[in-house]
Amino acid sequence: MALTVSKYYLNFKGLRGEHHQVNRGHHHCQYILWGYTMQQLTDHSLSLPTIVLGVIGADCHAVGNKILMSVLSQQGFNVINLGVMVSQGEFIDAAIENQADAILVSSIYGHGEIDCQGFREHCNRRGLKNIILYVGGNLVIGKRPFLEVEKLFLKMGFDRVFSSSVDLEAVTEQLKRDIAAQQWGITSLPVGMLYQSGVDIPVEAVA
Amino acid sequence: MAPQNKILEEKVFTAERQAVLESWPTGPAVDFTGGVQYQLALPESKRFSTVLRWADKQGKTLLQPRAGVALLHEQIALLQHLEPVCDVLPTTIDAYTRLNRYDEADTGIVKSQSAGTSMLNGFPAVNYGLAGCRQVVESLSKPVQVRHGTPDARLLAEITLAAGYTSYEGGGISYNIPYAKKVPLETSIRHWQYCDRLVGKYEEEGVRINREPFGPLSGTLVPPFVSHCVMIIEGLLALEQGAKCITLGYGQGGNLVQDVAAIHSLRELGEEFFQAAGFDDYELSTVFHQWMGGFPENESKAYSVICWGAAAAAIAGATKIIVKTPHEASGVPTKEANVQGLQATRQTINMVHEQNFPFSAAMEEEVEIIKREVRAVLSRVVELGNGDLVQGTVQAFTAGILDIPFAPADSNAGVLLPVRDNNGAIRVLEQGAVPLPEDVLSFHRDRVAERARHENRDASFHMVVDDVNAIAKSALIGRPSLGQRG
Repeated sequence: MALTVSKYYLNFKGLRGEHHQVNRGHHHCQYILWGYTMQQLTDHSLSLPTIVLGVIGADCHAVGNKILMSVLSQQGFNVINLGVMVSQGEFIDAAIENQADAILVSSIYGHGEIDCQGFREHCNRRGLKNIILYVGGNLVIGKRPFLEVEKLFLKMGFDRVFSSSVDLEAVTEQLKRDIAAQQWGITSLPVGMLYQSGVDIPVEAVA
Repeated sequence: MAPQNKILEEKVFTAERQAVLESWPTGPAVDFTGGVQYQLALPESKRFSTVLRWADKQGKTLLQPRAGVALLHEQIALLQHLEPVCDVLPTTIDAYTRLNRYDEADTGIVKSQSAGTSMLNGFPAVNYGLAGCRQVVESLSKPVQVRHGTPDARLLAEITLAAGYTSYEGGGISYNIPYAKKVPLETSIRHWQYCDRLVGKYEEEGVRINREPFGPLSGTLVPPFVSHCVMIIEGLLALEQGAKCITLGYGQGGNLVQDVAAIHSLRELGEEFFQAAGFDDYELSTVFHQWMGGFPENESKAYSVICWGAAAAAIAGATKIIVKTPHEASGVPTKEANVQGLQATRQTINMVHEQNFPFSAAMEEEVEIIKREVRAVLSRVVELGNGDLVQGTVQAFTAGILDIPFAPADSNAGVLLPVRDNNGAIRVLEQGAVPLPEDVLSFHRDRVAERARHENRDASFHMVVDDVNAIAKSALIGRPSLGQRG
């Protein structure tokens, strides 16, 4: 593995294979970790973050799923696409089998509120504690204010909730950040901070 | 034994019927003789076949919404609320029931009771059984139809037809490929032969039940010839089992010329193939579904999409139109939104029906292309089946000769790729194994190339994705710089 994280140091290889060591308390640490993960995601020769994708329950809506698969693959993710009509158990089986970083649940037919009940607890019981859980689509029956729907699903234990009109590129960017934060034990990247070359990113709590 | 396109034998049907009725506790209450008596006693104003016949004769287009909620009294209230503003009524079945997961439908009913609102996306008719379904029928004065998406719809058919529903949507292909993942085509076709045979048995007793194969399929950029092939096959399979009243469907594409040509060619091809197969005492009608793809969230813009579909259906002379609502981007509409969609549709249809639209040369050209495509594909299907349509259909899907874009079923090849041309008509981008005549393929290629030149980019999957998203972003064609429109 080209980057190792120990209690005090980050060790990694630069572009010419030269060795670097940086103290984890250094305020550039986040910047380096983030940049490294971005490099991982664009360079297919390194290991890619793996995500499990599918449409939950008795839902047969397949078009959005195919498009999501395409967008995510292009963005450098290793996508395990289970397609439509996926049970909670099937999502979890695939996540365990593929050591997934995240599970992306779609629901378009309105039964999301029923089908997603207990999903976080189910993941925990099967040993997938802290796996990133996203949910998106038309998650309840009928037209309800999105903030209400978001609150409902955040309460169920999902990390992020998206409506069916969300820009998929924004979802993938958010996913990259969340996985980077998860992978390197960073409890959170500052909300609203974008990764930009040369900009200091204040360090939040580093695990 | 592999299913064939032959009328089901009486003893086979009877044995199977017993198993079907025993598959859920509400099954045994169904009594065929009682069902026949109830159906015969219905006034003609509540009979789908009668109303369809009248509409075609008068040149009218019947309005029908979709509607289904979890609780019985609410379903009745909903349909009674919609009845004044439409011509025929639905009962849209929930997704759990469609997969025969009646226990989950039960849970949905209980949750809906405690939540005080429907938690299901449709009406769980099997759970309510004969008595509950009859209550629905009794509460209405217009004909009511079962609308769903069900690979194994046998028990649902037994219950609802006995209850007084006079029309039944679906088919062994159209309610498998877009609605299922792992159901073998032979299985769903065989189960739908049962449904069609049941309709045939009602017909033998003097009760005419309307059958409506599901045209839109995956609802996403489906070229007219693809859905027409499925419609004709399902129509033939239904006629073989004794059904006599068939409504063939088509989902709006968005290009007016193509949509009008699609409805015209659908009826003409239906007549052509049904008569060639030796049927001559059937009734044929058409149904146009308003745009089945992604809708704009903004309700005013949603009305535009709804009315464009209304205009196309009226110009095309469809017998019936299935109406969308301003809530479509969010899914299941309120009853108020459903009424609004119907009212907007009615206004447009009224005004269009009062004028003549001459059939143009462009429409004629599209009709000819669709007919040539359908004839080419279906003759290959027949060849593959060595004379049997069921086997031919199954082989054709395996070989990718019949291929429905964007469908979830494992038994669908998913290689055929559509894309809009520079006029918004749906064309073939990647042919897959579909056997289209060479000059027709050139036609598609040329039209697609014209758009690619205009947009200064290659025609690719990216272009198709842009098309899928276009209408929700206020355009027909997914131009590269679509972004946010006003």
